[in-house]
Amino acid sequence: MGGWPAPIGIVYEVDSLNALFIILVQFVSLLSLIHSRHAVNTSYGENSGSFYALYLLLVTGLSGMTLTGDAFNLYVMIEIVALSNYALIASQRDRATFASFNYLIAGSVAAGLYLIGLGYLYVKTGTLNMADLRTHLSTMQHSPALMVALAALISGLFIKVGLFPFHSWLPPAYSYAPDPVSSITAPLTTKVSLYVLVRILFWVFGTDFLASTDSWSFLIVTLASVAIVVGSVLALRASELKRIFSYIIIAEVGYVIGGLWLFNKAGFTGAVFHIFSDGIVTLCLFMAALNIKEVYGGSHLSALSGMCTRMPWTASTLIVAGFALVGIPPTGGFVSKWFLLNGAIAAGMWHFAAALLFAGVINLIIFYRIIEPAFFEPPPTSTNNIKTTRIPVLIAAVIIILLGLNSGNVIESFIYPITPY
Amino acid sequence: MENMLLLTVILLPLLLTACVIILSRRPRARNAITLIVSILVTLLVFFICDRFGGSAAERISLFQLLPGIDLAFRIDSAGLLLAAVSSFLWPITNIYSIGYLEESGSAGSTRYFACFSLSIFATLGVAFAANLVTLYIFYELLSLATFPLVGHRKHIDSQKACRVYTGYLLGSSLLLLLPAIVLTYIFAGSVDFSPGGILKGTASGPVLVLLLLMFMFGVAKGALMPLHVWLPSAMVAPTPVSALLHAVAVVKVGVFSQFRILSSIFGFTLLKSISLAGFSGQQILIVLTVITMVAADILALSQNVIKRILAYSTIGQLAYITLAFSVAAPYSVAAGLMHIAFHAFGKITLFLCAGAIFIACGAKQVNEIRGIAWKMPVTMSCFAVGALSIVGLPPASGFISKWYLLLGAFSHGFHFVFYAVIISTVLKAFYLLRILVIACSREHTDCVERACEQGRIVLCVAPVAITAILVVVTFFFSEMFFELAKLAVSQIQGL
Repeated sequence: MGGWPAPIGIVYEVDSLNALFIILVQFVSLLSLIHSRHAVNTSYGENSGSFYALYLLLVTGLSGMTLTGDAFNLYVMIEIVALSNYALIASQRDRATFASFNYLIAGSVAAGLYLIGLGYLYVKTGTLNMADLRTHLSTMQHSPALMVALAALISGLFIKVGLFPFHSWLPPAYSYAPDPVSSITAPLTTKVSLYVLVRILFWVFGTDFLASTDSWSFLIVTLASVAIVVGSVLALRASELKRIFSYIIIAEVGYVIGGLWLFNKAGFTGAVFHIFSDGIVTLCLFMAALNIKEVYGGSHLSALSGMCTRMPWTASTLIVAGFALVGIPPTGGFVSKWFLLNGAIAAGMWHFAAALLFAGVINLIIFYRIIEPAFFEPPPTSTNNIKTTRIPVLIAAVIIILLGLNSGNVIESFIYPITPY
Repeated sequence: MENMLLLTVILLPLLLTACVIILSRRPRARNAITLIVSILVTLLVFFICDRFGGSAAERISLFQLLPGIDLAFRIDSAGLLLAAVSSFLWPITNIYSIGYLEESGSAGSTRYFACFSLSIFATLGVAFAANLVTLYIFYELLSLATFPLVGHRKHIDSQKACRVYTGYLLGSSLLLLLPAIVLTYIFAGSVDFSPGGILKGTASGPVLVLLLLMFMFGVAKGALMPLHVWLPSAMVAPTPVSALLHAVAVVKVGVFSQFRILSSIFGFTLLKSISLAGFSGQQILIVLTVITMVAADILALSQNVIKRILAYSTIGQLAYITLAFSVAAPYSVAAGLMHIAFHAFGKITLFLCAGAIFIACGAKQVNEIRGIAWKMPVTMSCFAVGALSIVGLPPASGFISKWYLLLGAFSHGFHFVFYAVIISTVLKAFYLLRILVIACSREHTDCVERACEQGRIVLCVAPVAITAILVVVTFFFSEMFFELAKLAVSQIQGL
């Protein structure tokens, strides 16, 4: 950028890891845009212009986060994403405003920690380009400053992705956000931040450096297992659809973080694949929630009777997404669960494997609770007679199944070429 | 050529599901096309059986599910046996369903027929699966496809039953079967079915015994106690669904999966050599199956609802089949495979009779059908034939499989098994004959007054007669099943 060559200038680089996630970002933002057109017109009316402007800014930031090869540019993109998120979430001026403010505080702390970490790295190595950082770090002695840098970067990103116990900003922000906003924010922001974590861990620091932090890995995997359990149990206790889905996101973050810190091939593959597949699943869930809200006027669990008869297509996409979360083949969720279980057993982290199985059962109960009244009870007569947008949700559900059927090809083309183990 | 036929056979029920959904406004067309496709599938399966010479067929690989693991099918004799039984009983159950739904209200019949053909699709997928992950995919699909069938009548009873059903089946497969498959992959590096098993020498004896137990209980469709509870609860379903669950699809998939795991993942030699706390894997499995078999028969004695008696009898018969496999003698394994077919015919007869009785006069309990034999003679004679098969007396085919099982058990020194089977036979005779005796009594109860076998009930009675005749015919002409079973046994190593 700006005509300056690397490592002084800012570069954008694509390798197969990037490629996977830029596809995710563009695909999700397109589908969500098409899907929420009607909802945007209804809720924003004349202000739709500002919605779309912020939306495009968000997509810019997300694409930038995915593609950049410069660590400080990454910080800039993180902030762009964060600011557009704060504005979008608060744009309807109801309960979401406070949730957005909460998110703002947490997000700023996180970005600040990231900046501190990056600052230490810059002081020690003199460069901000990721590839260059890697070259410098691989030849340096391990010093406390570098450990602090790693710790600060990881902590900042943990807050950004909502790992337990830094998760409390996430459920209010994603569930009170206006529906068109949550359809893009919920799938993408967390997932792209997880991608950033993968990049920093394995491309900037590298596996040799990480091997010296082995003492942390048990702790972090345990934290991830707790996150899975806590997220699942909180989702079980929630009673409003978007809230439930937000808590499920917290549990899924635990899957990825635990998988990454297993430090083996299966764990890495499972974690990266899970980021991608769970992005699509979350998109499907939130788009379905939007449809349900349009027809039923609300998305409380007690109000969902007869959904299977009243909205069969949306109900079936919800069921497919549920299968992916429980881990029933042939969905993408089964594939990531397979790899994560393999990696957990190979690394001897039995508590992580147990947490994964536990989460599957809890997700089964959660989705059963949603589907049972939808199937068994007759629909109420007071539902709106709206024709909901079904094609984008159906496309998302079909992709989930295709991912499950073809994961061998996807993993061999995108993940195996760049796997660090 | 066989592979193209195989793919057609497996995919036809899936296409039928789509057709049923498209034809939802035209019930007559939907019924017609369901019947045509089901008969076509049956004919194709029998055609493949005929041409299949027992040689190792090629694998067909469809998708790369995971790197190194594909969605693959292969024809072999045991799979053909399961496919033949399921596909042959499918058109019969279809005819019965048409009559049953017309009598009892046809709300939701599109969903009914769609899920029915989806279940058959899943059963055929399990029958021909060439590796554990493919089997697991179709196994789970079967659980999911049968859920709307169990909950067909949207009462509070079906709601509770569905919770138990889903809870046991999906819970056991998520907590036990899936980890077992992952562990198999970690130990053996593969999940393909091969004749001598793939786990030999990969882990220590006690660990493998625990893995075996995880598999046997994880396949909860095989109803080993204490994971049998879903079966009696599923009796709230309409009778054709119970017939499907207990004769055709779900339970047979359960014991078939157990057979595949025993013969092609563990291998019978390994089964005998691994041990935990001094007991070999084989001994532990035999004890578990005998306990289930006898306990189920004892529980059946105390039941009053006809369908629940039949449900506990099924649990016992499934344990009997798994017992036959665990004894690991060539005769007993062949007996187990044949019993998959013979039990299917006998049990479906019994269930269809119970359904015909319910449609004719609303009776569900044994004490309500006093004297019904005089009003519905055809139905009750078919019931008698089915009961003979389950008890295992000639001229019903259940006798043949029992004979071979006892032969295999006695010749390999398992005298305990021999006596347990005899005790179970006596118990079965008791509770099944009790129903017949009550049905033949001279007094009538009120609801029996209304019962008759004319009119639309014919659609329900004719299939029952067909299956009962089959029970007797397969006694005299059992070659086809015997040949398939023998071929299957010859392909297994370690017996």
